[in-house]
Amino acid sequence: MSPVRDHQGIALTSFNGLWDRGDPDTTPLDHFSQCSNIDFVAQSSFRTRPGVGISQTVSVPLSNVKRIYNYPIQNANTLIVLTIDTSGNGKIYHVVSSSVTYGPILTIAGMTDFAFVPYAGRGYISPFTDYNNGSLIFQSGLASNYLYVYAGDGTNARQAAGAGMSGTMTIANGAAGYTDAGQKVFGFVSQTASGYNSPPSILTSFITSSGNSVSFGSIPTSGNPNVVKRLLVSTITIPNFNGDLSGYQFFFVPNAVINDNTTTALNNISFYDADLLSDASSLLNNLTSVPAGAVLSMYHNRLCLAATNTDISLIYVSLPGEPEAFDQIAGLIVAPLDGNPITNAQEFRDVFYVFKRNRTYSYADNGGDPSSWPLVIIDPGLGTCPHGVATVLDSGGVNVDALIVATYQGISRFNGVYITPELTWKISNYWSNLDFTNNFGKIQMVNSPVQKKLYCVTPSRNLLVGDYNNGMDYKNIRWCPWNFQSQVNSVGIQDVNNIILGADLG
Amino acid sequence: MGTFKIKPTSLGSSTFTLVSGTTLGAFQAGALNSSVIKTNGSGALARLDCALATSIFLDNSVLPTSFSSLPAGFTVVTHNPILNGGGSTNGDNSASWFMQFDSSTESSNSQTGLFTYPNTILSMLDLVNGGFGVRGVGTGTSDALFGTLANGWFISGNYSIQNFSWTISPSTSVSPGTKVTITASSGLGLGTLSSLSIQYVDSNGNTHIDTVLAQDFLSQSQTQVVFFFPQFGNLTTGSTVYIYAIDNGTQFSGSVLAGTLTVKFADASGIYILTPFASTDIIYNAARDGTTTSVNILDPIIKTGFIP
Amino acid sequence: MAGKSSSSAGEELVNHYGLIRLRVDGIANTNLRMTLMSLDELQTNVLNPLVLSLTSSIEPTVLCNFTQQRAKLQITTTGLGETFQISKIIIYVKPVANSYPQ
Repeated sequence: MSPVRDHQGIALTSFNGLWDRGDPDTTPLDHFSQCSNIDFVAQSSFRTRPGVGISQTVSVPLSNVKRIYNYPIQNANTLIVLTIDTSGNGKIYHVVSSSVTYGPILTIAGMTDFAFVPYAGRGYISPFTDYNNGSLIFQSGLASNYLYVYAGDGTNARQAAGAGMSGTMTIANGAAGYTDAGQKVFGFVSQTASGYNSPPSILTSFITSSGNSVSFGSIPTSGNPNVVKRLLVSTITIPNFNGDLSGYQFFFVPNAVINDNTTTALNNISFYDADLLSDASSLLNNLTSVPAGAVLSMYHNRLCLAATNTDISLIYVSLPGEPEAFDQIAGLIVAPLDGNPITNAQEFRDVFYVFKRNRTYSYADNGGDPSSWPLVIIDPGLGTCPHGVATVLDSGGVNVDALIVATYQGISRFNGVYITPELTWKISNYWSNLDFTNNFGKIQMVNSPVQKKLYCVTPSRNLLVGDYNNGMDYKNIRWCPWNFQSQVNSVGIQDVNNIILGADLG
Repeated sequence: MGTFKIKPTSLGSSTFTLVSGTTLGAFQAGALNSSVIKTNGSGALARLDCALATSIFLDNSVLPTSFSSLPAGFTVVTHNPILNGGGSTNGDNSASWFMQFDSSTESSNSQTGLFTYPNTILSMLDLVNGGFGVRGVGTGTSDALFGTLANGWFISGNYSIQNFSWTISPSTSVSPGTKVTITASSGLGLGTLSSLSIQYVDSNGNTHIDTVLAQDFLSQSQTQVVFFFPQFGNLTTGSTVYIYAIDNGTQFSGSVLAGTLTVKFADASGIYILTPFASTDIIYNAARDGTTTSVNILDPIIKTGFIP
Repeated sequence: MAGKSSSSAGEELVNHYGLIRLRVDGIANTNLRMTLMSLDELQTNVLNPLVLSLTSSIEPTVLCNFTQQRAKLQITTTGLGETFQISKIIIYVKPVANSYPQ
């Protein structure tokens, strides 16, 4: 019985989010022609979105927040935050908890964004900024700037890698011992607290005696206060020395380590040529300073840095397990040159995917040097922006079986190819109206598999939320934009389920 | 329909060599009067800055019209940077000379001094704040750009006045999150607007342009647009902000100055956390002293599809 | 015109929208503001706000009186601290004319 005579009830019991595709008059009844600040509940209800609260309870909270990253340390899930002060200086802080903030740990004029990778408890930071390329705005590493490493303890971040020591040392026969008699070249490698080994330096030749050990004096200390060890290196006995101190292969001498940066003597070292097994010559090829790039990523335990200010299509790949050691010959990959910078990189199913704004490539580790890894062009028309691959929880970018990637076409699942229709198929008008010319780089996404929601900061500086409780496919995902008093710049997840937003002054 | 000229008031960041015997003249009289610049083998760049109060000359007037005094509905239709009043400018063909609007927008090699902003008509605020200039590349020591420069260097253009009557409310003490309503009482309607462009110069002298897309309006009809005012930058309370309307091309092209409003500074920036079941947004106070304010969740809204 | 109401979907008959019923909860004293809108939102029918409570044993109704070929329903809140949760909307419609006068 109808409550109003002769009127028929049309029941709306499914609410599947925003529909913005084609003519608004054709919006299906189970969708909204317009919605804002709505959250979806279970399968078929909707409600006002959750409010935001402050994340910092300190007396002077951080202001003008430009970028937030998760930074898991040994005993907490913390945040690394970039702000810009009134003078245009980019300042990075380490927010340990709501009441504890370290920093600024790094201050760089002109830094408007940064790339970040946590590794082995440390954080690797690369400052970058926007630059104009015709009518488009791209991102590349900040000119005349470098990769930095942060220890996670509140001390200032420092430039990664580093040059070898300088100076001279004295060498003499030590107490009774043993060496293979003959000409050798000795040197020292300095090691920082983060495990980085500098190129061998203070190279000095000496003729050893078979019945004596070798003693070293006046050993220089490193000017780098982060050096914690100095390791002795040596060549094997050289039959015909030609005078070229760096022209021979160096090896680490066993049990010949100075465990500080103050001692100036190392006495009575005995070794045979057969004991020299660990190569140190490869250190000579390493960069002593790593230029800043717009992209940082990990692949097969190697730190990968791309889009420097001078080489926007170049990828620097570190040695495995050594995130500051970049071989300047074998550790370089040149992506196809098309005038566009590399924007993102992500490991997925053992393949290294590299993105430009409208290209996607892949490289696969063949066991050889990175420069030998084969290139495959995955998609010549779709790519993404610096933060356009959704991070999952507080870890990397992979969720279950696909990456979630923001492209010019829409937000797509990527499992080696871009799956169509894209997830934003229902709101294709909304997506295509966004300002990609000037603000494609503003997009950042996180994926919360616990809440089953995608959070995407859009070029309009609001949050586009996709609820996939009914399934992550183009039909069942439910979209709704969320707006706030502030202009949202950044989004992250902390402690599994807490969505963190960064807002700037505009 | 009318014409305008934007004349520079000062030299911006520039590097050039003056040809011997020439001098910098008074800018308002024609910029670099009687001056000739040359690359001198190492390139040349002359940037010319303009001022909102004194650079705009309408319809060959000898007195400037300040930007804030431009008539409502003032719309830039065309614009070109002009060297030497539009006459021939290059007496030395070994150099390449490029016209510029803002320093990142440059013509191809042009020796006649005419080029339009690629694919976009800039607003008057953009034109004045962006300035214009010329860049020369040449390896010869005598590569020069000369001519009868007494005619001046300026941006020349045409404008029209859109007949409409729009009001903006509120127009004072507008802070981020304020619900602003633009009402059309006559003339151009609001139903075909594709976006609003909110433009201002911050306390550091930097021009900001914030865009509110139509899809982010709270509501839009022929007679009314309602939107939430976005967070603005480092602007002191009482500063003026310009609201430009951009149409989808049905009623007008380019941008139309809809009006102005003054702002009340509020810094709601910072780190926030989504709080399940919270019924308000709690934001940092502008004092940045750890205190907070509860504000409305900006009008949650749904519109169904058409029934039936 | 049929004596009894019948579905007019796709026929663009002129309909009368007489009542809206919802399954809705919200923070106490939330004013749920609803508006019916015509094609191109040229005409509207602003309904009386519905005052919500945190729990409810009934699905409240709101009378409306709107005659259009098609209409859409807008639901919003505007006050500080107001929230709502909706799981069902029923709109009662009756075709009243085949077309507008030519």
